[in-house]
Amino acid sequence: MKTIKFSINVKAIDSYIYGGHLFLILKDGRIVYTAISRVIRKLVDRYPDFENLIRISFQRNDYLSNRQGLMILGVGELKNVLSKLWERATNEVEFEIEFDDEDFELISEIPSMPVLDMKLYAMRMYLGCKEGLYEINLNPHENRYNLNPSKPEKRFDAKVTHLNAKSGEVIISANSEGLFHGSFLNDQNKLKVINKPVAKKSLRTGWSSYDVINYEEQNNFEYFVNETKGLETKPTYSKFDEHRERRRITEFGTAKYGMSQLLEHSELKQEEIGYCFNSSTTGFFFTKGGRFVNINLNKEDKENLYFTSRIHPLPNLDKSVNKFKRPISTSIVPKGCVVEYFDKVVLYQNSKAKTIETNPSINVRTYPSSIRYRNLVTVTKDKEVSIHSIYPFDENPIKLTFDDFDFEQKFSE
Amino acid sequence: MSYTFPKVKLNDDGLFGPTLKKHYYKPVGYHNKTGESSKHKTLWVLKQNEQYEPFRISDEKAWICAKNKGLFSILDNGNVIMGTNEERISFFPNPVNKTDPWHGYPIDSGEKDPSIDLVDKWLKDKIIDDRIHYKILKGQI
Repeated sequence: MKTIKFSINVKAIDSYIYGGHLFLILKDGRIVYTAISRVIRKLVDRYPDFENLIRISFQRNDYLSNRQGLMILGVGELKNVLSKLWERATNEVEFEIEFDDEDFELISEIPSMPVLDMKLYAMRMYLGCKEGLYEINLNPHENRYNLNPSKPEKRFDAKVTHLNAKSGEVIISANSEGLFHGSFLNDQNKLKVINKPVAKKSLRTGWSSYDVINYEEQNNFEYFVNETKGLETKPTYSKFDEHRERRRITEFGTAKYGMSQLLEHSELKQEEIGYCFNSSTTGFFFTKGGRFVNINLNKEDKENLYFTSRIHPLPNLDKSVNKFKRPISTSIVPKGCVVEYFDKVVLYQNSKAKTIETNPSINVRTYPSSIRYRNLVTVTKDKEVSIHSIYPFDENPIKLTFDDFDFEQKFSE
Repeated sequence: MSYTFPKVKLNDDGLFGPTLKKHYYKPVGYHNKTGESSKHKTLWVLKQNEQYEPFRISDEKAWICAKNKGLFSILDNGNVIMGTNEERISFFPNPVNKTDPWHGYPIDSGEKDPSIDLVDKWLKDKIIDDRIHYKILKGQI
């Protein structure tokens, strides 16, 4: 099944969906945002026949996969109707809307262009730029959905190539300057970055539960084990569409594992790898020989982590070519991943590779830790931002009826 | 559209050139072949005579990077693949002696990042567009 997609005609270099809003870095250097509900209203006004599908695909995607949704769509006939409507929308309609200046609220001018990465987390916006890292508090005084953003304040002074955040920690990749981290959980409620790097080089990072995998090169990483403790009082920020956080990181990198050490039980050797990335429990590897595989990471014993021996092949984009096709960036989605290549964007899911964009993109984002947007992909291109909604179900034909559905198993989890 | 490389030939000393700055380029074996000696080296997909083109342009346009002590080059907004791992940028380290020929190899901006000043200059001079500027600074190509 293809993704349902709509495009907003706007000149931006980055886009990010968070807490009911779409945030954009415009090419002229302005940081702006608009409510997702406003975007959806524009779409619905233009395509009224698809109103409910548009709303359920983009605005409340979680309705399709929460308990209530699973119960309703457990009736096979209902699911088949939905899949037919989905197919019609993907084949017949090119959803597209215009956005003008008055559609956006201005946060600020960005102090340094271009923004090389942005991360929205805990009602804060972090912007990684050539000259450093900026923090914007999206709602400094109120515990509500409406935004009242502060002005950007600089928190770190080196070029930032990638940002990550979780459990009170912000992880900063500054390429040859190193890997840094810091927390905003302090008396000033502002990010304090520890000046000493924890690794000499960092292009990007990925989370493996509360641990961090640091990619020093596109095909080489080091695994950092972090210590955590349970939170006595639950943070209020996580109700804004993030999964509730129950732990915070107390110590970074108490143990480390090299890539070859973790691959000791695997037939895959480090020198074969051309590009790699990870989800929480899995490593994904593009080999120089043109294979794309994933391997599960065994974490049962924290003092003896390793990739298991079983290699799972993933679909090749072009089966006739056994040649390394290098990814530009990669992102995780439920049961799959999205890979940005130089000239296209591909969704790998359900044992299939589907090209979802046939033109070059500036960047691609997914939202695996979001409740409402975990099946969305945003692609920022030269003259537009496209938002894809991924079909959230297994694509095998549904033959079940209401009577066949095993409620006990499904809802006892 | 594929890039049209000018026709150039090796001279009697096994060198390409000179450039307008009177510099010569010498392809080196370990960046041009597979084998044990090349195991940890990046490899050109450009033919030896084609490698002279990114060197010539970089030398004549002074795409100097003081931080890395050498010249960086890019062709056709990054559309020309230079290395076997899809590298789209090349690097030519300063020779030990000024009169020595130069050599070079394909690089990944994540592993050897050109200075911000040079990448900004490429954008200002329209050698690259906004997208490639972003990708190089981010270390993605």
